[in-house]
Amino acid sequence: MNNYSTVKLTKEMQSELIFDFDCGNPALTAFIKSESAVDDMLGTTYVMFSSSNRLIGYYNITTGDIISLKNIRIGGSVYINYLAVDKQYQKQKYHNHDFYASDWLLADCLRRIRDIRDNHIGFAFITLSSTAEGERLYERNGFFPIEEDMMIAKNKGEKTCSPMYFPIDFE
Amino acid sequence: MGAYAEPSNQPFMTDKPLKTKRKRGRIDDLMELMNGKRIDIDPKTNKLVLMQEDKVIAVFDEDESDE
Repeated sequence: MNNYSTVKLTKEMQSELIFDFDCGNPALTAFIKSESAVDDMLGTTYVMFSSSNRLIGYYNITTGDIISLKNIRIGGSVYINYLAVDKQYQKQKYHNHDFYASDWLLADCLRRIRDIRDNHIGFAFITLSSTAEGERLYERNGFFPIEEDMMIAKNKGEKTCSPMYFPIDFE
Repeated sequence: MGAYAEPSNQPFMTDKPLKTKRKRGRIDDLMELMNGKRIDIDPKTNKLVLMQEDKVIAVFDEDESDE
């Protein structure tokens, strides 16, 4: 699968195209404009532009783990650091198939992660720490809250976010 | 010494059953629907549109629910 709606963010795109992006969350809005968004040591950012080069949304992914409370590794994951849609487009919905731009962006992210799993690195899960506003997006798309006897490492600034996981394989 | 110093046939070590598989869901349908399509913005209305082969095949509507 190489039919993605997103492209990898470059410094050139960042300086020329994304100044007016605002998702309504100051941290997520600031991230896409920061040097961290193009720092491969922290994660990789993929952006969805319109044909007129307006940024609709983005996500940033890196590696992760699920571990037990006894610090035993349960399984590897790709961790979604950030996923955000510009607030102008957050409430627009395609009613025939019941999805928003955020669902589309998440599906693009999952396709990319599945490609990594199928062709490059073996792992079982996708993990993330969701803001309260984002939880419904992940719940309706099959993510589970982390169980009581599991943990994932959170980023600084995610203390109030809810850890969630998604098994890549289905029955 | 590697990560699995003690050989184990239980790579997924958890006290409770871990969901390593899920039911197929709407996100899987959406991943299939995406083939050959992309989202764009109508410059006149600032509404999202679904495009296929450079043609608009659907227009997004404002949703009144608290998304």
